[in-house]
Amino acid sequence: MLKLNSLTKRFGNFTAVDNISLELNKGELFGFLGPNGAGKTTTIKMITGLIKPSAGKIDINGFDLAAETIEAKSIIGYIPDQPFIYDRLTGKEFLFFSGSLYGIEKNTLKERIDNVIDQLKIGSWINKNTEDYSQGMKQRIVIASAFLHEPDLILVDEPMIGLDPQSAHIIKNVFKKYTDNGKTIFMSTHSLHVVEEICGRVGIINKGKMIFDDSIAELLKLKNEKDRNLEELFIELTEDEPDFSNN
Amino acid sequence: MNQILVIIKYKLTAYFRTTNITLSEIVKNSAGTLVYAGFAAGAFFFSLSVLDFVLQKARLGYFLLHEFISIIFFIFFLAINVGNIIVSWSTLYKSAEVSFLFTKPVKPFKIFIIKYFDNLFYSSSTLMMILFALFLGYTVYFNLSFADFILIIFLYLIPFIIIASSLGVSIMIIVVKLSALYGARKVLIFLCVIYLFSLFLFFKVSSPVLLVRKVMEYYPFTDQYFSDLIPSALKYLPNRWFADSLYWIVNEDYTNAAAGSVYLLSAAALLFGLTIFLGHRWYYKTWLMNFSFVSPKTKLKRSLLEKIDTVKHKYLSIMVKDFLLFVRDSTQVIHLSVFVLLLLIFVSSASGISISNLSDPYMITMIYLALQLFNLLLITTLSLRFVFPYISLEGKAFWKIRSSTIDLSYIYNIKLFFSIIAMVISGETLIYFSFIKLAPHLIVKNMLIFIPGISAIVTLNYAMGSIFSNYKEKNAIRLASSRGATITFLLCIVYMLFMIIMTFNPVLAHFESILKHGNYDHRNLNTAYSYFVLFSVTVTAVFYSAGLKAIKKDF
Repeated sequence: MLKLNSLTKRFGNFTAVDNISLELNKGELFGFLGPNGAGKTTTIKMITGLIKPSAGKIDINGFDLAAETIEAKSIIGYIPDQPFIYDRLTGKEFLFFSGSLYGIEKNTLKERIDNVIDQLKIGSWINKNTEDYSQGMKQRIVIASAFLHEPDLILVDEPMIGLDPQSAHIIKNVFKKYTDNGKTIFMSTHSLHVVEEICGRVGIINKGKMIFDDSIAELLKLKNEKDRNLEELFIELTEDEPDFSNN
Repeated sequence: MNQILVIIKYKLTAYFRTTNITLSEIVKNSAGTLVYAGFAAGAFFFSLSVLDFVLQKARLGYFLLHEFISIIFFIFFLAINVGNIIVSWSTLYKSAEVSFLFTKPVKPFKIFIIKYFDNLFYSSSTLMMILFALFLGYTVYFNLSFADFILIIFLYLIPFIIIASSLGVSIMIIVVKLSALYGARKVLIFLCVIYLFSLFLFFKVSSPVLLVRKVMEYYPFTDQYFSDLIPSALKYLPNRWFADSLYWIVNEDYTNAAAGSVYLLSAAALLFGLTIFLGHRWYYKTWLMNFSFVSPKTKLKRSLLEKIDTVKHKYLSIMVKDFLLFVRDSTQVIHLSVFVLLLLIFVSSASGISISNLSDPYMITMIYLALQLFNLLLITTLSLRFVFPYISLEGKAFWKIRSSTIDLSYIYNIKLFFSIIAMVISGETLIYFSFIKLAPHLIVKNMLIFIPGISAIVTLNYAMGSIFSNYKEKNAIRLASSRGATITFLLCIVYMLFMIIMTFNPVLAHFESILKHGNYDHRNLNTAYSYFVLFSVTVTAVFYSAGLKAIKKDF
């Protein structure tokens, strides 16, 4: 579904993402961990086409992102870390606008919007202007908008910021259900317990380099071997920069 | 006082701090500096040649020259005043910085003072720069000393600007206060009527054509001061004090010149004091009102996005979204209304200008080119205000479009296309009414050449807005007052100067042939206009490509 081949991004002399290679299969929920400034958001932005890689290749279900940008983007859904939306549109208008960007037929779009409103339980405030929304409300609207065109791959950057426990619970269930249907989710997060709870595979990036890429079971095994909790293990891995990657 | 200084210090630090020194930043800064320097030099030489033209070629004399300067000052005064009224709505009432400062133990009055100067800087800095360069030209032409130049700036220009801006900010505070009592719409309509009535009175009382005719009866003694020809009502206006003082300075009568300065300084102190008083009494109260100038009747339009056939008109949704965001932004709506009003005023005044009584080809050429310039200047101002910020106004929410299946080039094209259409319609209306009496035989020609002309200006603004895009800034007025916008404005002025350089002699020859031989010779004019069209197309193409490249940069 997603192949990253020697992906690199440099900003002047600073290398934000350094020669990352990764391959995700259909139905995988991939947790992408790393400390602040490790290169998680830069990697996701490269996959969504928001920034151009300095080197390397991104392949999305057989489409080369650089050459077949529109085709590749048509099967991606993106949930950014900061839920910026147009202030003077209502939540519902934003959803219609988002769906129209993917050319979804009007009636189908209406149906899907009703469906996500129902799934994410956002119906009570969907017709209010988004400038009056809280951070969590905006986040849920953005999440809803990513599902409208039923993408094969969803890229999520810090999904739980600003969400109350009920909302977080709903979102986790929606993600799990989505991958159960054969779709893929690439999720960057700081929440180790979320990764432990829903992800099947984990990658850890530190200072632009992938230092761990394996199943959650392997990560938990490593945790037990080192007699640490997950948080302690994460700190140890990202402080000392040992390469646990199996690539 | 200490708090004000601390806040100003950090504002300046943030303004001047350069974080990333990249190649593109260096290129942008160098290009900006070059444009500024080139423009200052251009304005300097332009003022020298205009003065030379008026005094040596047209031989109008010192008095008429300063009468024209007085009218130009009146227009500058209005520009600063209206600019400050509009900008003050966003700087004083809609700024995130103000909301932040109000959460801190800073007295509202201090915040008001800081924002007053912020407002002055944002709304008048470009105009001040233009005036500086023009006054330098004026000083050199009349062999005045550097001390005279400094005196003109500090004793005349700065008080003049403070009068206009203080009046603007005071009007805004009063408008907000009264809007809470009587409703925003009623107050705004009342304000517009007052403004229009004042303008109507000014142009009714001062008739430049009549004045020229009367003064020229005394030729060659046209340098003397014709006090009787100045309507007494106009003697109490700041533009008159300023222009008259310049006349006396040139004639080395420093007593009369000093009187003008006293009037200006006193009026500036009085109005600044009034603004401070109003700010002290009402600023915080009016800020807390936090109402919108736009009627809440937007519910009908809300279904627009839901009505679009999203398969056939995928891109239309972006335009509908832009439209909804525009009409729901009070700053944009107010600003557009003011501009429409100004356009109407201009159209009604310009349509009455006739040259049938004039026999001097220089004078006719000057009026003809001045009108062309004024039309382009209006289009430039409109473009700068509404087209330049267009890309930036996508804001941080642009990620949604950027990560979607929409082709960025297509978005770039349709946004530009609609901008050009809107501006061409406005511009063609202006051209039609400007030349209806002035040169009816040139209306079609002007309307044709202005299509590529307006397209060039709009594309330049749009592309520069893309190159200097700032997705963090939500305020269109601030975007239109940014460094990139100033450079864009200067580039537009340079473009207009090129137009004058290319067409001056053929236009003069054309009017000379009409006056001397009754012969409508269009050949030279056609050639010059062809070069102008070619130049405009080149400008459009160059800026189009640069802007398109810029919109595709990393988000």
